[in-house]
Amino acid sequence: MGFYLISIDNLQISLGADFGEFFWDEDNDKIYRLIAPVIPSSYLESDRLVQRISTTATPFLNLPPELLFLVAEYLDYADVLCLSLTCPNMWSATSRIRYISLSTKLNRRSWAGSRLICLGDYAEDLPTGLITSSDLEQMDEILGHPTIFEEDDGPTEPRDFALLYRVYQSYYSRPERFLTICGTSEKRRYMNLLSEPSIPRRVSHKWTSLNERDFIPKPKPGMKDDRWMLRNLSKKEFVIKAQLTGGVHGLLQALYTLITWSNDPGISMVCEEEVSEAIIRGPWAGDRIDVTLKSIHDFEQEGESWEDITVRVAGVVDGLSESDNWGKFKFDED
Amino acid sequence: MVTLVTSDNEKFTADKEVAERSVLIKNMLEDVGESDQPIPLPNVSSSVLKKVLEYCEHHRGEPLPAADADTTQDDTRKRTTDISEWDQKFITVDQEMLFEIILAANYLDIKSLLDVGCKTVANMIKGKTPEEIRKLFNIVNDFTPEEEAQIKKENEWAEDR
Repeated sequence: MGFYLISIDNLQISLGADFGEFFWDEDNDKIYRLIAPVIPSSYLESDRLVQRISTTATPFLNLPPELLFLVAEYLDYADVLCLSLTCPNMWSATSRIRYISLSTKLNRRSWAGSRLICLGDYAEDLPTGLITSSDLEQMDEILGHPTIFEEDDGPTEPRDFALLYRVYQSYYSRPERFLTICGTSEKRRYMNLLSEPSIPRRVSHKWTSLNERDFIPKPKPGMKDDRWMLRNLSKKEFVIKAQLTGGVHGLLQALYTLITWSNDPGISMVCEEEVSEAIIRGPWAGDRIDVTLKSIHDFEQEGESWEDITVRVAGVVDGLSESDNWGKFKFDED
Repeated sequence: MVTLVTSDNEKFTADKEVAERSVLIKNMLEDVGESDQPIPLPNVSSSVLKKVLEYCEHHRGEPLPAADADTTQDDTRKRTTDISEWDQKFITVDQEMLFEIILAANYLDIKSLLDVGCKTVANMIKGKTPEEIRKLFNIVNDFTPEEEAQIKKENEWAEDR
């Protein structure tokens, strides 16, 4: 029996294995995917370049910035980069466009704030209200026909969970590895750009190399008590690490205990039946979830009321570790 | 009918319904009220206005986009660069005219025409290398050979690291 980690809003699916097989994996890739990317401010600083007053009568360079921006809205990041690299004047004229295009590219890949569910093969329903009418419309579009299901005893009313199953199994894509920000052919295109004679590589390198770790937010200097937290944006609940030094360790396991959904308590782990029964009806299944730093959370959510459920969730994870993993894993172990 | 006067002092007459596809002209007409006064368009030449009016005539009667349609920050919008067959034929012009049409559409506030122009330019850029884009738009990478050699040298050094 398989479980699938699904981002409903990104139309992406990963995993597809027994729950107990992946539960203890230290796969930070999945947690990094939940962090809203932050482009360092250095990307907005103007680069010192030799700029010339263009003597060439090219109408393209004479377009006002707002129209250049409109053109760029139809281009993907690689195309914007190629346009930027045509000459120093264009590099400067498109600096903000480049920044926005990169931001769009990164945000489109991110699962931060997306509705997440770890759905088991034996699910017979979905969390109440998970699939909205606009989801159903989108699924109709994907399937190319209305959501009526042919069952053994003839057509029936649409069943959301069966529809989701069918759509994700056939049409949802697998996300790329998070730390490879672009696919092979795209990467090759960027590599070729590095030899462009128009812009010094010291300037263009960060735009072409795209190291995903550069876009993971860093604690602000002086924020000694900063820590990573897993947030449920729908229910305003969070699970938080005790110290920053622990990084995101344990948050993935916390996530699995909260977003799993099935009707069969078979999770291939050694634990009390009541624990597995609680896990397969995860209270966060289908909610909007992200991972962020406490400093960012405090800044964004100042005055808002959130519930800290760390103790309960850490207890479940550590309890599972005792029974299934002989205590080899601790939620708050560095 | 509405009379429009271009930057090169040519007069054009157009149906009000056609001319009012331009938000700028529509607003001007509302401001002056019922009047036979010609409307000056100092930023549009006669050759460009002729094309713009051809576009407006063809799209006469079609619903105008909502005023706030452009302000949505939804990044999923504007993915498609599809252009209808008629619009594609219409916008198959030399580059100078293409950019003039874009500038005129922006000035006259004709969103759909501006979109067609911008999509066309975007389609010209898509998938091309910087060198190909330079050639396409006659963009000169105007370094001296010495400066270019210096950048190449710097880039090669960076590549070896």
